[in-house]
Amino acid sequence: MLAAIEWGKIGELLWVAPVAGLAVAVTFSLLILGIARAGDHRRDGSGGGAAAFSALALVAGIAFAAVVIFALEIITTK
Amino acid sequence: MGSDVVLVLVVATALAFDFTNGFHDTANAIATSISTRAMSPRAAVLMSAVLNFAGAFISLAVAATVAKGIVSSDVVTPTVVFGGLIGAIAWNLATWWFGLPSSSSHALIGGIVGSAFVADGVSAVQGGGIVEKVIIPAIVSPLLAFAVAGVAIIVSYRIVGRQRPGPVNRGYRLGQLVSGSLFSLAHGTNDAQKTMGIITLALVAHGDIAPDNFHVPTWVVVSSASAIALGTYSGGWRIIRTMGSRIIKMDPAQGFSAQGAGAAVVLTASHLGFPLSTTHVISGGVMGAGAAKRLSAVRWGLAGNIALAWILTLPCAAVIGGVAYGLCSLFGDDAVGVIVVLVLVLALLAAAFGSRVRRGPAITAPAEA
Repeated sequence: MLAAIEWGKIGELLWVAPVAGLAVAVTFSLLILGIARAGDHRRDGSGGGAAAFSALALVAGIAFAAVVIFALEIITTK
Repeated sequence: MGSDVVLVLVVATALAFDFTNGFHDTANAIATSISTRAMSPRAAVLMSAVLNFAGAFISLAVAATVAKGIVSSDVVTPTVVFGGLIGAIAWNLATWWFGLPSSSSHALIGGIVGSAFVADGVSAVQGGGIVEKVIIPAIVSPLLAFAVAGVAIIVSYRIVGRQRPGPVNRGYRLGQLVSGSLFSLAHGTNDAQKTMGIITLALVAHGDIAPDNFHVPTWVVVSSASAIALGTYSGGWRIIRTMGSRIIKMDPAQGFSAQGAGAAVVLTASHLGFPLSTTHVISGGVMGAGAAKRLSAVRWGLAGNIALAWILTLPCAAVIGGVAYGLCSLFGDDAVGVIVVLVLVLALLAAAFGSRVRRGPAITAPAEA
């Protein structure tokens, strides 16, 4: 009975899912951080800081969008 | 003539199961969004209903796999399917009544197993399939989601912990729109197809579709998508309240972490072809997001009740499914047995829920916004 179980898939799930979950959390949290800190720097008149955090927000936003698009692809092609 | 009546009743019962599946599982996608005020309750159920409807049209791959590897295909008759559906509906309504999130898919499998067992004995049940498709996923999925959501919320707090709460909470609420939408779409592609598969199985058993030409007719796709969307829109508020605010009191970051981790686990499993229950995953995610902040934040007594409901799902649905099939078979192969059981079930439902309605308060009440 146990031989029929696809242990390889379970093993893969146990490392891929945490990586995917962390990717979602990290990219979206960095997007929020970037937007919030860029706003703070703009209010303080610090152009360099605002540009740096805006860039962070942009990169994190693109990464998060990529994760979402990959998720949509999984949903639509299974 | 009799078999035609049985087929019509099986299709109607399958759509009724699909409806209960929708309102039972609404909480999976939107409970955390409602709890953190990312969306209003009505907007959330509307969004989830629309995406469940759309999801039902995206792919038909799951429809062909219903009951595959669980029971022997040669024992599946419309009456066996009917018994299984009664078991699944009864268990869905019972757990909804107590506000306990449980797997509709496991209830359906349990109902079919019980019905097939009574029809043809123990040889009809494929134990390996149950271990692979029910028991191992039921152990792995909540624990994995618990761990992923726990780590995700710790990392999220580390990254945004020193920022002003206003923009941070607004950001995570927006994120929940995305994660909730993904969950709803994924749910539509999975669960509506189970009903499509069940109806198509009944059509094959009735001789309307050749076994070697298994395809889901368009009317089956449209009616299944509509039933799950209507069920979702009606909202299983008792379970939404349990999932959204009774297990833990969550902030938007915890809500996003639970949903994000849950979506990651469900979609990774889907990508690998490993079936998981969205209910088990999101419940584990919610508990993980709460426990990582503070262990005592989780109401462990309630969590224990939920786990008990998960353990009981398969055997209880199987017993009810078996009893339903047994009652049907007492009246022979004709439609009489199915009609008698259906009337009995409707009378029991009217007695249980009708008296509750007459007493005043609604059966369901919207979750706290």
